[in-house]
Amino acid sequence: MTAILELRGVSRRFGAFTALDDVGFDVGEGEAVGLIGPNGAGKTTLFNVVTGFLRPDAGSIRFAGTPMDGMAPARRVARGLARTFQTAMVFPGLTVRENIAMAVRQHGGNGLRWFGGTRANAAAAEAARRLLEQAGLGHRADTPLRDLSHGERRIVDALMPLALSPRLLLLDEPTAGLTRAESDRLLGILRRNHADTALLLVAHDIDIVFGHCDRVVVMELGRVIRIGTPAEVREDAEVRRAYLGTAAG
Amino acid sequence: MTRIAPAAALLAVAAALVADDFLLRFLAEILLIGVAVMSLDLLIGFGGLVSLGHAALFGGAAYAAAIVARHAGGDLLLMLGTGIATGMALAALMGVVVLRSGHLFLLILTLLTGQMVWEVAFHWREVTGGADGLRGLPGLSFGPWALSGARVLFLLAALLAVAAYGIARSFVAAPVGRALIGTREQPIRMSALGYSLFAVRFRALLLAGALAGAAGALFPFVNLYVGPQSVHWTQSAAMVIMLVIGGIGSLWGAFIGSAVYLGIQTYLSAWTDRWQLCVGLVFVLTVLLLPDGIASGLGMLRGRLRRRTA
Amino acid sequence: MPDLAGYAAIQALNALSFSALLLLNGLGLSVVLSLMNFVNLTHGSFYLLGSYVAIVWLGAGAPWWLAFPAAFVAAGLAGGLLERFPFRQFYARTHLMQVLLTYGLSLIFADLMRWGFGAQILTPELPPALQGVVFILDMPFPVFRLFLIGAGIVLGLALWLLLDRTLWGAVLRAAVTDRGIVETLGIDTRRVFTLVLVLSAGLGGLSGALGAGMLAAYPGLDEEVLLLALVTVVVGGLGSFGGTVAGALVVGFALTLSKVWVPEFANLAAFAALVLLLLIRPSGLVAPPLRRI
Repeated sequence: MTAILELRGVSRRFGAFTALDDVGFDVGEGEAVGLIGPNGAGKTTLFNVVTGFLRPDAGSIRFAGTPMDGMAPARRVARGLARTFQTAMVFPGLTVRENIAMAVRQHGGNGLRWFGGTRANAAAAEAARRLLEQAGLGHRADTPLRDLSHGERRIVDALMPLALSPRLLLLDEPTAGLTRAESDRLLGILRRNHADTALLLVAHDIDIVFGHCDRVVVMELGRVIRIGTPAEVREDAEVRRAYLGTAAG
Repeated sequence: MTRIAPAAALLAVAAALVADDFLLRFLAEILLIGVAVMSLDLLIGFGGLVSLGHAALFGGAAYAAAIVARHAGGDLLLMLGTGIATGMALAALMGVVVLRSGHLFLLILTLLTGQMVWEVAFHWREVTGGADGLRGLPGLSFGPWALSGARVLFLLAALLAVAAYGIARSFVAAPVGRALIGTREQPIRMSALGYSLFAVRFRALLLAGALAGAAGALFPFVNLYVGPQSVHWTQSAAMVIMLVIGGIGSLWGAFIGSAVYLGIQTYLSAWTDRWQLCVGLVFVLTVLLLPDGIASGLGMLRGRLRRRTA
Repeated sequence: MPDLAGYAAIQALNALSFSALLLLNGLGLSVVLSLMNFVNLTHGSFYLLGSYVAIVWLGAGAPWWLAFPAAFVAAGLAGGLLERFPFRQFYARTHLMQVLLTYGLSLIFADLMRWGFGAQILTPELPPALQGVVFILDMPFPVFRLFLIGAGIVLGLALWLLLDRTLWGAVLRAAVTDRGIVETLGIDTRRVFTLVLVLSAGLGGLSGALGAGMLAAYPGLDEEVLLLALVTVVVGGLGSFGGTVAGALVVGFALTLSKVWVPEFANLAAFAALVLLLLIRPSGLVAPPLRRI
């Protein structure tokens, strides 16, 4: 399997605090990799570094074989590297369809269009509707986003970068605050409807990660302590120690 | 708002027929400054970019038009072209400086860059007339026709206002306008979707400069005078309060705000020596009592009426 | 070449005296901006008030060295009253609303001061101790400006010690970094805010009292000084004492030197240079590390 993302020796410090320490792993094309670890493990910092919102102090990041050094976030997105954030960053005043359309327009090269804007808007609205239908939210297309439930909001939040047809999507705790059913629904949409998009997914619910991911990377205090299949990771003593402490024998 | 257009047109024609010269010139001033304030609404209301240097775009274009007119006559198309070009050029320079920083610095830097325009206007006596400003301007003309009567100027200003409004509305509805709103609401998300925040905001700034520049080009011909006060940062602050009075984000509120503020200012200065204190009070009372502006108040009223009749 | 060296020395001292003013004036604005995220456009009014108070005091024959504390107290009092109402209600509101509120208030104060003190340019009657000139490298330099530099250094040092070495200063610096955590320590940050605003206003008034001997006092000076304070803060960078010092020095020297080299367009040249500086360092000379996400 070819790697879509290759991390080698990525490190980042904030003053005296080491957030990332020699992090290295791959994500293969179309693969779903779970990223787990206790709070403060550096998962969000890693996301920020990979997507260009933060500069690493050391190490290399290669996306689709191309080094990403110094590349601005918007340019990485143009190459197919997208992400979500821990808080759902949606546009509450717009309809659901309009939220998705904002992404569709940019993907189609119409993000800054003025002349021919009506046609571009209509095309984007149609593409957005199709995406929503696939995700089972077609009936909510014209609802203002602020009227959506938390679970639906999270789905829309994930659909926005998906509208860019990215090759890799980084999801930062997309299932936070969702029920098991809602989480499965969201992950199902990601895995089935967008199977070409590789996923790097941070989640605190271990069962979600183990249920939907091909491989799991475990981090603690900025370092990668284990990489393996869900089964391997579940049995690993180091991982148990990191999560549960050393008390249990 | 399509019902407003014919009503406004009717009002304009009625005013043109009924009002006296002084009132017509005053209304023309309100409309032209209103266009500048509306273009500021694009920045503040839609883009979330608070500029304290917008008067420099408007006034700078006014100076450019006046200077060109003194050398080459006041042909309408020449004036508009000069104004739009100057407005856009100044906006581009301002954009390059201010759009790299956060919102707080943007506020201060627009003030600074606007003041640089004032420094030029105030000190370059040979070209701008210095503190005295420029007088003795030829009247506006279009081909063989002179456009210097108060009635004609008012109608020109009204036409420009309508055209500018339409252009602004079209921009806001287009993808680029939607993107502008997006950068205001969720700048990080917009970056994460691949938008360049600078590219979006710069386009908005250029358009605002073009609209303010077009209005600014006609401004000197209303009273056949242009002075440095029209580019001072305090004038920019006045434009902001006009926008707030009228209602941020409404676009048409800009004209209401312009009318209210200029009306108060003119009336007060004729009534009392302490009119500047009263103007300060207008600022303070507006943010204390009416921060959402008149347009939102009217909007709420309309909403309430709709519910009643439904 | 003694003439050139002397001339350069004089200009440098001129710049330093101007920087001293900018430092004292800019510190108040910077702290209020960094700590309370409050844009205060009445800052220039405090300066002008302080100037007028000092001028009246010195003209009344009272002990001259009390003029400066008097200006500090007068401006601080005004600041305290404003903090109570309406500033306090606006800390949580947008910068736009703060700008409009404080700008409107500055218009009111400007008009009140014009009413009270008149529209002509007023200069202070300097006491004999501060009059006259000294000779530096054979060039004359006003004693008053030396006093300004000295006062700037002393007060600057005192304020730095206050910020860096006292518990109160530590609370202030902590609150600038993270107000919430300071609250969890049981410290009422609202009181800190009030004190900071009073101190900021007082400093503004004090710098006005000191500056009266250099810039005089007249309606409209408040706007000019406000602009300079804002530029100082922007050039120096927010959130640090060193930033404001750097900003004051750069702006002071830029304006003084531009008056020498390009007298007709002094301000324009200086501003252009500062803008170029900002293009290279958009967050100012001493920029705080920002975490965006």
